[in-house]
Formats: sequence, C-alpha cells, structure tokens
Amino acid sequence: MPVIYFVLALAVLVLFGAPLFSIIGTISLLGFSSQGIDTAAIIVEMYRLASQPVLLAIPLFTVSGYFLAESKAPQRIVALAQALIGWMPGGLAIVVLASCAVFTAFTGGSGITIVALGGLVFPILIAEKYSEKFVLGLVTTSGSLGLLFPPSLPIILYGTVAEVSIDQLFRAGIVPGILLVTVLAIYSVRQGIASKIERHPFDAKKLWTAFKNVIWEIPLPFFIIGGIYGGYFTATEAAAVTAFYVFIVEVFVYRDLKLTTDVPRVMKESMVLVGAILMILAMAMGLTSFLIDQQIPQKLFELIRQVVESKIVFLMILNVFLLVIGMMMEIFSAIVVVPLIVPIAKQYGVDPIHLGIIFLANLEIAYLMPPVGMNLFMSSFRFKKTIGQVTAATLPFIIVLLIGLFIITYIPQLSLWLVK
Amino acid sequence: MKLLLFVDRWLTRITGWLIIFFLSVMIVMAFGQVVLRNFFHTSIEWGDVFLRHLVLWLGFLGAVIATGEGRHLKIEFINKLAPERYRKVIYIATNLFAAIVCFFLMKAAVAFVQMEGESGDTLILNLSTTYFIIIIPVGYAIIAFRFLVRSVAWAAEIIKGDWHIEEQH
Repeated sequence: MPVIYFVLALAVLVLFGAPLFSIIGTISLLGFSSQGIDTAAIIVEMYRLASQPVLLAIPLFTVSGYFLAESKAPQRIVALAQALIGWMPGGLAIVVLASCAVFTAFTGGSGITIVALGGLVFPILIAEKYSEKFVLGLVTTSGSLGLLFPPSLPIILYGTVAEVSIDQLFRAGIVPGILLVTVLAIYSVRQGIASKIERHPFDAKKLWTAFKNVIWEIPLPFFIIGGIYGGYFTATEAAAVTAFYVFIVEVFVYRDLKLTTDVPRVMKESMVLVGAILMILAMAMGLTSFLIDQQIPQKLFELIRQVVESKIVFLMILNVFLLVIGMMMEIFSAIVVVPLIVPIAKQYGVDPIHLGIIFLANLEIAYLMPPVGMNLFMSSFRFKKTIGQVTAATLPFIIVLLIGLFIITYIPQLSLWLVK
Repeated sequence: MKLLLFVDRWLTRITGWLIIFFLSVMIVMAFGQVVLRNFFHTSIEWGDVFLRHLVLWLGFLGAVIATGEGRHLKIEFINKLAPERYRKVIYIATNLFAAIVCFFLMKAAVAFVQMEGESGDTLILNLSTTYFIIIIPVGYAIIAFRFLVRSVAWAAEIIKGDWHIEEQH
C-alpha cells in the first residue's frame, strides 16, 4: 500500500518542521497528477483568490496591527483601561483581559500580544500583589484572547477558505468573544477578592488624562465595528481606512514611528507574515478543490456517521479535534482543515458561520493547551519560567475558557444573534 | 558558494525595497478608493483589480523574505527538543524538500501563465494578464532557489565541522 508510506513520509516531514505549505502543496500536486489533471489547476484555484475582494483586507489589517504593536499604543491602551476599570475588585486583571483582547483583535494573535503587552502588564500586576502564579496564567491566557473580535485576521482567513461572508462573521464573533472575556473576568474578580487585593479609588482626573492620550486611537474599534455593523462599509474598506489612519496617527500625530527607519522595517516585517499566510492560503485553495472533486468530505462524513449519529456528539468530537490541531499548528496553519470540516459540519446541520466561531474559539484556547500550545512557549520564554510552571499557572484559566467554549458550541444563537 | 550567497543577499535587499514601494502604493490607493466611492460616488475603474493583484505580489515577496529567514509557518516543537547536531540535518532535509515542492509548483505556475498568455486576455488598461500573474512562477522559482541555498550553505558548514545553528525565529 504505497499510499500509507506516502502519508507516513509526509507526517514525518510535518513533525520535523517542513513548511506546511510545502506539505499541502505535495498533497495537491500528487493528488491532481494521480487523477490525470494538469497541476496548473492548483494555480488556477490559487488565482481565484485574486477575484475575492476581501483578499485586500489581509495585508492592510496586518500592517495596521504591526504599526500599532510597534508604537506606544499598548501603553496608552493599558493606561486608559486602568483608569477606567482599575478601581473594581480584580479590576487590574480585567484591564489586562480587555486591553489584550482589543490588541489581539488588531494583531491577529500569533504570540505578539504576550511580547508587546504581557511584558508591560506583568510587573504592574506583581506590584499590585497579585500572586505570581495568577499573573503568569492571566498573561499567558490573554495572549490569544480577542481572536473573535473584528478585525482579527483568522476570521478573515476562515471566511476566505470557507467562502462565508466576512462581514457576517465579524458580527457573529462579537457576542461569543465578549462571553469568553466575561467568564475570565468573573474568575479574575473572584481571585482579586479572595487574595484581598488593595483597591484604588476611582480618579476622574487620571481617566481624563489617559483618555486624552489615546484620543486618536479611540475611534479605531468604533469605526471598524460600527462601520461594518451599520453597513457603512465592507471589511475591506474598513481595512483600507484603518491602515491609512493608523499610519498617519502613529507616524505624524504621536510620532511613535520614524518614517525613514521604523516604517520600512515594520512594513517588511508585516509582509513576511502576509507572505507566510498567503503561501498556506494559496495551497489550501488547491487542496479544497481537490478534496471536493474527489468527494472526500462526503466520504468522510459517511464514515463518521456510522459511529457518530447526533450533532451533539459530533460537535464534542470536533472540539477535541480542533483543540489538538490548534495546539500543534497555531492558527494560521490550522486553516487547512477548514475545507474538510465545513462540508461535514453542514451535513450535521451546523451553520457555517457558527462553525467559524467554534473553530476560532477552539484555536484561541488551543494556543494555551499543554503540552505544546504556542502561548506556553512564548510565555515561558518571555517571563523566564519553565514550561511546567506556565502550564500549572494557566490550567485554571483553560478550565474557565472550556466552560465558555461549551456554551458557544451548544448555543448557536449566541453566534447567530447579530447576524440574522 | 560565495556567488550563491551574494545573489541571495541582493535578492533580499531588492525584495525589501519592492515590498516598501508596493505596500505604500497599496495603503494610499486603497484609502483613495474608499474616499472616492463614499464621497464622490466614483472610483478608479481598474483600481480594485489592480490592488488585489498587488496583494499577490506582496504575498510572494513577503514569502521570499520568510524563506530566507526560516519563518514559514511550520510545526516547531520537535525541533526545539532535538539536540543542535540533529537540528541542522533536519533543517537541510526539510528545506530541500520544500525546494523540490516549490520547483514543481513553479512548473505548474508556468503552465498556468502560458495558458493565460495564449488566451490573449487583457486584465485592465489593455495590459495582458501575464504581467500581473508572472509573479507566481517567478515567486516560486526564487523561493525554491532560496530553500536550496539554505540547505547547501548548512551542508557546507557541516562539512567544515560547524554544527552550530543560528537560532531560528
């Protein structure tokens, strides 16, 4: 059975770190050739990307995120959140959750939040006498929080591959996203009260100063969410406005980025990520058309149906599968399973939009999954703790998030509420 | 070997310049389109198609840099656990593999571009589609080249007895 050797060989290559796009490319190349189809078909499929308007949103949102990450926006956001909600019990922890969520929505995850924001809030939390274990867990968890909020890149990628409207996905993610932040916030407040953290009085003057400092960045989430939600513009138009606006504000208003040195460097950095993503996305398009051509999702569905009858059990298995995939691959690569799961889930009566939210919520948590979730490594590296320490600290947060995931999975109305 | 590395360095430099230029054009033009559409109820007719092809170009250029810096998306945790000595061998093998795949993708892309070229279609402004999609085969060719250069460079280092590997991103 040569197919088995082939699968084994590819599995070894994946595990030893061959670029994922080359693996998917191999499958498509051999798949198409074995059917006697010219491999140019792969490129034809890839070129279909150029006919999707939302393609333009990918580099524009990515570069906006990088501009923000490299500016002093993280400090300003934290200062504002601190003045706004820092007075509550466990308030500072909520500050971290909220700022990280906003920040990750703009930067699309991939560990950048832990480096940029985590390092910033870690010492503040410790100074407030939160236990080190709690702080470590909180910061690690916050690193991927916010992937469900617009304009997060993973949402756009899911929509592109699954051929679902990005605007609708953006709306669908808001309530489940708030839910995940809320469950963590409740847990943090409980911890804050339990460990008798000293509370600061509310200071209107401080709030005003913080607000004035961040005044130019405040409109961003509003005109993205408001603009899309109100139907004023599409996700792609929002990306165009955001990129231009962020550039002007960070370079000419705040002057955090120097036009001649920082800007070219950040531009190149951001396009490296876009390039890596596009390589995967391009190959995923080819693979999708091959899988559908061969009716592989249909065949898989029939196989699974013999064991799994109910939608409830299917969703349970899907969650476990996505958590494992997400833990090993991180979010941009995990997009390759989308063409497989969308048609299968449809057969079980799962709405593709709801599926998208399940998919993203799973990957958000998968970042933290022991033993090899990426945030554990990022955090261990950034805060100089062993993987074991980070894992132990993050475990309670994972459990809280899994409760949230359970609710998101089994109450589709949460995701579909703002869409319909 | 020296020549290969020299070419490789210049590829990086030129790619970087192109990225900065194209991305600047993209940011300004995409914003311009939104302003034209919403305030003047008009737009540059060929603008959107042009911009989407610019994404293809930027993506491939970004991927060229990603190749040189070992920053393609991949599963990394096993390599992180492997001792340095094995790691270099693993990197050579996986990069060679990627080079071969990119070579075949380049061939597929050449066939695609020829198909489009023969159809004689023009995309926008009476320009042949070929100009806009030529980056696909060229991109894969450069990426294949860079994967190869990296493998060869590491192999050469091993022959000299140098097993040390610079930390990958």
